[in-house]
Amino acid sequence: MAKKIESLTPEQIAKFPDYVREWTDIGLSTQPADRPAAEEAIRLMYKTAGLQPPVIVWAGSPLGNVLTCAIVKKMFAEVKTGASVGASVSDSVSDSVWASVSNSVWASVWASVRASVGASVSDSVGASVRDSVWASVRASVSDSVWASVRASVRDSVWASVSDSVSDSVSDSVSDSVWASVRASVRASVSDSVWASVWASVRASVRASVGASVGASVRASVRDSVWDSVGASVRASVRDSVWDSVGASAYGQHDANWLAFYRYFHDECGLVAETGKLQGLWQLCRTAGWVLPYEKFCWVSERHNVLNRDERGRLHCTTGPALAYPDGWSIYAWHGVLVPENIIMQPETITAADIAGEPNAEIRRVMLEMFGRERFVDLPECIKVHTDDWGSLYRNDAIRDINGDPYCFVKVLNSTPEPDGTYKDYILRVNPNIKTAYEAVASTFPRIPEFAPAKES
Amino acid sequence: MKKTNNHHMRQGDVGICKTKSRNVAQLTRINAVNGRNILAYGEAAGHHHSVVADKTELYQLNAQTMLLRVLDEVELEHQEHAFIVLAPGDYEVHIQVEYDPEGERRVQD
Repeated sequence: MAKKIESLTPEQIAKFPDYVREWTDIGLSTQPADRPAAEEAIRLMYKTAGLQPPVIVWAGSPLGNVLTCAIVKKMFAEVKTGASVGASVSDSVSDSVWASVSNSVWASVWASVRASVGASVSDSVGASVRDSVWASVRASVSDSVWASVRASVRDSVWASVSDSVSDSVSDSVSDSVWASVRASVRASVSDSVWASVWASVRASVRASVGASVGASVRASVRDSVWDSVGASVRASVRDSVWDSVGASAYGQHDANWLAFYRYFHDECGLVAETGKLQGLWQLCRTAGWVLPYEKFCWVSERHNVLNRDERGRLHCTTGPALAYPDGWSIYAWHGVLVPENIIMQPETITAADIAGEPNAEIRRVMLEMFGRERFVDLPECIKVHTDDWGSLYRNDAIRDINGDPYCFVKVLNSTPEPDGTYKDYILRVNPNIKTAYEAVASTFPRIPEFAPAKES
Repeated sequence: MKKTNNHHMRQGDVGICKTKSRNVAQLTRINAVNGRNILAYGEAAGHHHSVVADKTELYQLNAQTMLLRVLDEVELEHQEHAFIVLAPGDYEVHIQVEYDPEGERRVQD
């Protein structure tokens, strides 16, 4: 084995920012997936794990991935158990076909990579070098890609199918997504899944019923399966979706840890040690999330809209912060994921909505989108004190997480607007404060008796 | 009439407090960006409260506060606020916060 790398040269260290930049850009890319390259990457990934190339099914988003997969799994289950078709047909659908859509192979793909790559890199690189690349490359990419984007996508996938909406998938996702998933399922079923299953179904039907009725059975089987999907998939889809999220590879959102190993591959000559990552590297560069099963692999497009604030958190006040080509969108305000209407129809938010929102973070966003000016103008918001520093308002009707009323101080901005007028600005203050001056001073808590002689 | 303190100044969400001369030997120096010492970044892209770096030094005083050492008279600038002239000396730099039941939150211009 080559000598262990115990330190990096200044030239190697100087390359850190290049990797952070390149892989952050990959993780945040809004370009359409490079489908031929992604499919090649998936086949390579399967080959690395000792698996046969799968049928590849494209979806418009990670949600499309997991819903399409859940629906197809449900269809196979229906066929297998004979819930929707006759016993003669169900008998012919072998367990291995069912296994092909029910057994995720991600664990085996990952195990084959982790065992060799992780150990090889550890053996070849000293701990201090590893730590330094980890801190400089992985952590930096992680902050922008993993923490703010991937986690939001994961949470939103879950939110889209969980809790109150779990009993009705079609209610929980937008019509466009549902239509797209449905179309995609139909297309996928017809083009890839159904083609292979249908062959065995047809063979069995032919054998037991006769070729002459094949065409009509095929149509009724397909329609009855589809009907049963529509009705019965909804209750079971939630758990299936969550399992699928856990069984996914995250494509472009795996950029952080893949950047770490790419650095060693490119800059430290650990080519053989990291060779098994070729498929995952290429996938990361070319597509979104992947849901790998034994014979089928769902792969998602990349997001085509991505808006973030100065701190890299998902943020947009005029539209989705993140969206995928199938229309699935995530709305966020400075990293807080919120329902679409809070961003897109803020005028429909009422004071009662704000008061009734159980999540403190979302409640805060609702207040911002509702408008502080509008909030202090509410009839139940009482002006309790005014002095030269501003006015203090108190709303006892709307309580915060501790049950305390909302209190605000309204201050006149010191710098005129271009038209010569002065804008107010409104800050939330502690409800125990009694005067406007005390309220203004409390916004600079570490300057005793703050009373600026100059303001702008 | 407001009762004010001549040592206190405010530009938007940045509070400045003139202070006695400090020993900066143990403090962490904050590097300038493109020739300017940035006291705070704004909400809008590219907006910041800043002073020219060749007349000033900026240090981290503690987790919430910075120390600005003004070597020669300088203007504190921001894209949306009138400038404020700072005479030579040491200044504490504080960022405005607002109340939140789960901990104070930074205000951003």
